[in-house]
Amino acid sequence: MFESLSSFLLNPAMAVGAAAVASPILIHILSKRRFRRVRWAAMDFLLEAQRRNRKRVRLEQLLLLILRCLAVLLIALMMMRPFVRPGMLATILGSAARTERIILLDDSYSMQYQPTSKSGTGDRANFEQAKQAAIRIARWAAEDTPDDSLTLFVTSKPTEPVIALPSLSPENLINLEYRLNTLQPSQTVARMSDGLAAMADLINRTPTQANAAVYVVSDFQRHDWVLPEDPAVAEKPPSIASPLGGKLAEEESVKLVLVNISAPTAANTAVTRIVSSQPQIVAGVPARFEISVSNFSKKPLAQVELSVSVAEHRLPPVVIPEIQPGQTAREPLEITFPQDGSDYLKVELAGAALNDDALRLDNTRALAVEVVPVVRILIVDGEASNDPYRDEIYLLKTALRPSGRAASGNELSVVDEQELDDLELDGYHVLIMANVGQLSEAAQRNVETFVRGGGGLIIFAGDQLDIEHYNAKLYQDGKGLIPMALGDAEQAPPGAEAMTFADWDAGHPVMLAFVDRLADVLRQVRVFAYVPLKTPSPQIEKVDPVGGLQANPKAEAETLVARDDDEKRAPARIVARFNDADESPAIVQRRYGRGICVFIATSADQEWNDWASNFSYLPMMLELVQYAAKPSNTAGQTVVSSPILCPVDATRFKTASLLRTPTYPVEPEIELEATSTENTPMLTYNETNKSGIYHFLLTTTKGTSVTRYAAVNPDAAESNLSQVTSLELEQSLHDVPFEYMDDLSVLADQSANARQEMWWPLLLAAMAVLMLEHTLAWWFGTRG
Amino acid sequence: MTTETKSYLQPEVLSKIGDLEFRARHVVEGFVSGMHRSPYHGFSVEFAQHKEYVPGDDIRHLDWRVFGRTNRFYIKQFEEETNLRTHILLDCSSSMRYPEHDVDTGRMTKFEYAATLAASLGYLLTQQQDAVGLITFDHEVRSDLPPLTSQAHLKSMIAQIDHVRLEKPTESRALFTQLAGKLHRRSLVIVISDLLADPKDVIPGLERIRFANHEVVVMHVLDHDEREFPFQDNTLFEGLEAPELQLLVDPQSLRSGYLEAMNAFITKIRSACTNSRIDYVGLSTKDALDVALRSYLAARMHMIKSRS
Repeated sequence: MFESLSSFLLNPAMAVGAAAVASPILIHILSKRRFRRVRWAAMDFLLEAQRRNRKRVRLEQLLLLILRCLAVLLIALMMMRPFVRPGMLATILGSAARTERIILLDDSYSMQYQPTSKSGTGDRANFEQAKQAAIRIARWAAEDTPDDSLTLFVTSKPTEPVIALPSLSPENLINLEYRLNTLQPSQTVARMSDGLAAMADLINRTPTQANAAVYVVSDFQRHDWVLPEDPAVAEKPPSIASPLGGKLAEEESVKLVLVNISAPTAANTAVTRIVSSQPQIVAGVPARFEISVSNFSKKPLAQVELSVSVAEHRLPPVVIPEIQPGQTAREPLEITFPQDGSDYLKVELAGAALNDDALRLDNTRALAVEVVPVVRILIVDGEASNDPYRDEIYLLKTALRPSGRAASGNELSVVDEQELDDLELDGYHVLIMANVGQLSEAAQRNVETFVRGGGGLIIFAGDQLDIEHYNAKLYQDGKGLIPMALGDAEQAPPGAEAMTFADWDAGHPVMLAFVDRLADVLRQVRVFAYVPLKTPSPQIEKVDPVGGLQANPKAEAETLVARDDDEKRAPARIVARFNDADESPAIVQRRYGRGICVFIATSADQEWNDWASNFSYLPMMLELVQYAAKPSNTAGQTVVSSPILCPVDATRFKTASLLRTPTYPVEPEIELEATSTENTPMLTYNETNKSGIYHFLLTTTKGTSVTRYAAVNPDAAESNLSQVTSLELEQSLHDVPFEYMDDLSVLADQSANARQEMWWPLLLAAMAVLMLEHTLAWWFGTRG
Repeated sequence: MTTETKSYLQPEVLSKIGDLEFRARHVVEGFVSGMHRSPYHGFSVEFAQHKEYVPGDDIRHLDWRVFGRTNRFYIKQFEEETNLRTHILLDCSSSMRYPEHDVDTGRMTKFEYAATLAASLGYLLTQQQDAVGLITFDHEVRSDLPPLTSQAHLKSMIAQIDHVRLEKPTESRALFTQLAGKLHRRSLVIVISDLLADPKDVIPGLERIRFANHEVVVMHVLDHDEREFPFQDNTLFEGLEAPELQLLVDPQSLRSGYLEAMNAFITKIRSACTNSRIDYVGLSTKDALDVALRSYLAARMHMIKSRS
């Protein structure tokens, strides 16, 4: 109780004195009990007087009693030495008893935001404002309770204090100011949940009797504070401050104050994403990318110019005609990398779009790419023949390499199923099994390992397929490679209309091209026979539309570490259907391990269809291969403060290497030693606190030097400067009490006199009440 | 009152009033010669003085002897006298007990005061050869001592007072009506009481006596407390006449209301007395009895003299 009282009382122990308020009441009651007994003759007059006076007397007595109580209360209050702090200062500073004050300063890169002269009031960067706020809080606290300790943290390193002051002496304040001035915003994202959890941990570790006040100085971006709503979960998840919450609810000795220092209008444009649309980028073959540019301001942007460069080589700029406010424009980009090896792509906002842009860091985004010389495809020919027209894969081979290596980027190898047993599949990107009857157990294990490790498997049906074997060994009730169980092959009845592709998933990367005319062309394919696929249960598909391509940079970063989720079976996805009565699936896919398996229910040659004569065959096969190809095993990009990894082929390179950070040559090169993981030795670097291109300098066993790139980008989430409203904050931090300050500068002028004691007016009030009581008592007495 | 015979005849009181007379203001009927004017002629006529005749005087009273000696007409003036019959009505209801001795020693109770008053008056009247009777009453007549003039009678009167028990409440209306019927011959009736009963009963009772052609003097004895209500602390008031009435109050708060009611009561009685030509004498036990009595008697004598 005293803790809560101490926020406005110097001498809260005297609150006990307030109990003295009972004394007049007690006296009143006791005096009722103490009386003289008089035997009285003139009772009638007394009774009459009593009858007439009773109400008035009661009222008067009550009034006197209240006045007496009030007087006692005022005196007690005076002894407690209450004080007031002007305005919001009180809510900031909190309890007056010894308090451990902790300032958590948001140093995420959004704090670099500098309001332009027309929008902002202070014209100072958010981070400068935040520093000012921190100093202000420290000064106020110093004035108020100079013995308090103060610890300053930044969100990028919530476990290491920037500075810890045992007391708020003037020297310590100078130290704090000096330390704050040297502080620069980081390029990380503010992880408020981590920060608050660390604060809670810190408070829990320190002696419990001390009060604590946690000040979070931030620009309060919505994504930092508001958890995405999950409509499926009825109950609200615990808020990000809930680690503190227990402490707060338990003894109310911890105070959480949120200080918002940012200017309200926050306009920003950012390159929020660069994504390669295909798993493998092949030298000399145009590679497709998609660039997302988001407009976080409230005005539409026109003629957004993007300057694109590959390594240090500038490409012609890309112009996005218009981006509506709050929208994200997706701009496709096609780049041909001339050579294989490591390379990187950099996209930067340029031109007029920058005028209103106050946050520069997120205007640049980079993507490191591993350009492979070829996509290596292994075709297992189930029905080999010297006659090209009877050979199962002749047409497929032709389609995949239409006119030589350079254009297609594919390199084909052909084997038969026996050779599959002990073939080293690691070097291949895609494995195609066309009309393969059975797989030996060794071959099956080999293929499974290949797909689980990220390889693509494409299976074409055909008359040689051993359906029972496929179902038993390859389907395994959903645990195997192929997405669905197979039925016995069905022929279209003679004379009947041949089937064709009718319905397909237009959002699937493979099918993206088949719109308009090309779609009509695809519908002209005639299919005479197919293997029916048994849809296991109604709840299939609904995978994300990009089909697990390099969609999420974070997820992608994880792929190198662990994506071996055999336990969690990915659902099968139907890419296309035939137009027969049952709408049988024609192309089905499913993820298996890190790789993917595509099953095509009809044959690769023209035995069961005339697809190969159709226009659509060639692009479809190329897309399929591109889609299924084993992705590059280097991360194209990570976000700041995520680790960057670089696999080292121990046969070619020495494990020791050097790393150049983006600040090189200001900072020297860092020596790294690859640590071995289960597959390959891996170079790991965790301190990616700057965005930009990181150079891994590898040395081959022969002594030549090879550079690998890794791109570290600011987290796009931080680019959205829209602030959380206090209402949203209220809902988001539903389980924690807190104070929210919008504008600390209002308080700046009032800081001179932080605390005013109230005893003088209280004394006057008590005197006045006592005099009033006396006068009234006298007056009532003379009247009564 | 039973324990010890109080000297209701207090020398200091008597000495203060000894030189005074209690004379009837109105015509009273007496049978022995006395100082009071009689309505009947020829009996107990005492010469008073001579007065020069002026036309219009009754020539019956011409003193021919003086005329014969001086050749002037003088009128012979007589004091026509009768002796006074006085009934002292002494209230001995329980309300007269206030203030009880266990509460406040050293002060006279109302009854003691009233009894001293009655004895003093009895003494005074006996001294001037008037007949004094004593009737004590509460709600009924407790004792009735017929008027006599002897000194011994005064003693029996005091003995009577000593035997009074203050136990019963007053019932004035019926009582006074009864007394009015009882007192056949016109006489002076001195009522000594606190009159603490419903004025609606008290006033008609007094009037009833007055209308029976008696001269009535009301000696209204009230305690100082009853007149001033000086209580400060919380007090439990308990009815003297009705012990079941109890009232625990802060007396200060009730003071004004009480005094208002009391003064209204006194005013009512006094004005009723004035209207009926009853002498009203308000007495407080705090007042020295001799002083109060003396001032009353002196004023009365003066009144009578100036009238005659």
